[in-house]
Amino acid sequence: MTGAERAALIARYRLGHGALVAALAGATAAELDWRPTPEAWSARDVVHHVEDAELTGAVRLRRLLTEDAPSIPAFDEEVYRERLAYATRPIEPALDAIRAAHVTTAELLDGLTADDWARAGTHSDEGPYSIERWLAFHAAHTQEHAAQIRQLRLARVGAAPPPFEPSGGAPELRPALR
Amino acid sequence: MTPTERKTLIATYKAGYDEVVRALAGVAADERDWRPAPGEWSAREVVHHLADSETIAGIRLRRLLIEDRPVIQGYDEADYARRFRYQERPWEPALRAFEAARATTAQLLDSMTEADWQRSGTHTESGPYSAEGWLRIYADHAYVHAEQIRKNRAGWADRPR
Repeated sequence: MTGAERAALIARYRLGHGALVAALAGATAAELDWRPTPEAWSARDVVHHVEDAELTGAVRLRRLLTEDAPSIPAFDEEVYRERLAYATRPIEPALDAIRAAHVTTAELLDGLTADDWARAGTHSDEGPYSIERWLAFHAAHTQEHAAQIRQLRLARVGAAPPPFEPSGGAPELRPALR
Repeated sequence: MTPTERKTLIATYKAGYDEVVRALAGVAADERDWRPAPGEWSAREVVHHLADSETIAGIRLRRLLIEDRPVIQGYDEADYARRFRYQERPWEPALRAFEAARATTAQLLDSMTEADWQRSGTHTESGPYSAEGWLRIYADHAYVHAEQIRKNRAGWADRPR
C-alpha cells in the first residue's frame, strides 16, 4: 500500500460517522425498528453493531501498535446483537461513541511511522492481521453500514428490494468484522 | 456482591465522567499540560488515559458477556501515554470518547442478570477477572484520576515561579 492509498483510506475512515448520521437523518422510531424479515437486522441493530465493531477496532489497533504480534480474538456479530439487546437500546450514545472512537483513532493513524505500518498480529480465525488490513476493513465498514441503513429505509416504503439478504443470502456483500 | 451493592457501584460508575469534568473546571492551558514531576502525567495525559482505558474497559465487559472465559489482555498504560502522544494530542475528542464509551457500557450494566454478573475470564497479569471485579475497578477508576487532576492543579498553583 502506498502512502497515498493509506491517506485515502484514513480519509474514508474519518467520514464514516458523518455517512451514518446522514443515512439516519429524520428516521422515526418505526423506521429504526423495521426489519425486512424477523431474522434481519433493523437500522437500530446496525448502529449498535457499528459501535461495538468500531470500538473493538479501536482497541485492536492500539494492541497492534503496542504489543508484539498480539493474538486478536474473533468477534461474533450475531451473538453481540442478541446478547447485548441491540433492539431495545437508544442509538444516540452509540453514535457519539462511534464518532469519538474514530476521531481519536484517526489521530493515531495520522502519526504512524513506517515501522508502525509494518506491525501485525494474528487473528484467531483469519490468521495474519496487519495494520493495513485493519485500515482496509475499518475504512469501509461504517460507510457500508450507512448504505445498508439507506437501503433499509427505502425497502420499508417499497422503494427498493430488501438489501443484505439474511443468513444464507450473500454474506460477502456485507462487510463483517470477524 | 448483593444487588444493592452492585446498584450503588453502577451509580458511582455513571457519575464518574461528571466527577472528572468538575475536576477540570476552568483549567488553564498551561495548567493542563503541567507535569508534577518528570514521568508523571499532566491533566491532558490523564484525560487521554481515561479515553483509552474506558474504550478498553467497554470492550472487556462486552467480551466477558459474549465469550466463554475470555483472556483479557493487560496493557502498559505508561507505554500507551508515550506511543500515543497523549501530551501532544487535543484533549476534547478524548473527553468525548471517555464520556460516550461510558454511556453505552452503562446501558449494558443496567440490564445484566445475576448469571451475567457471575461470568468471568482471565486477565493476563492479575488472573481471574469477573464481571463483578470489572465493576469494582471501573466504578472507582474515574475518581482516582479526578483526584490526580485536582492534585496536579494544586501543585501547579504552588509551583516555584
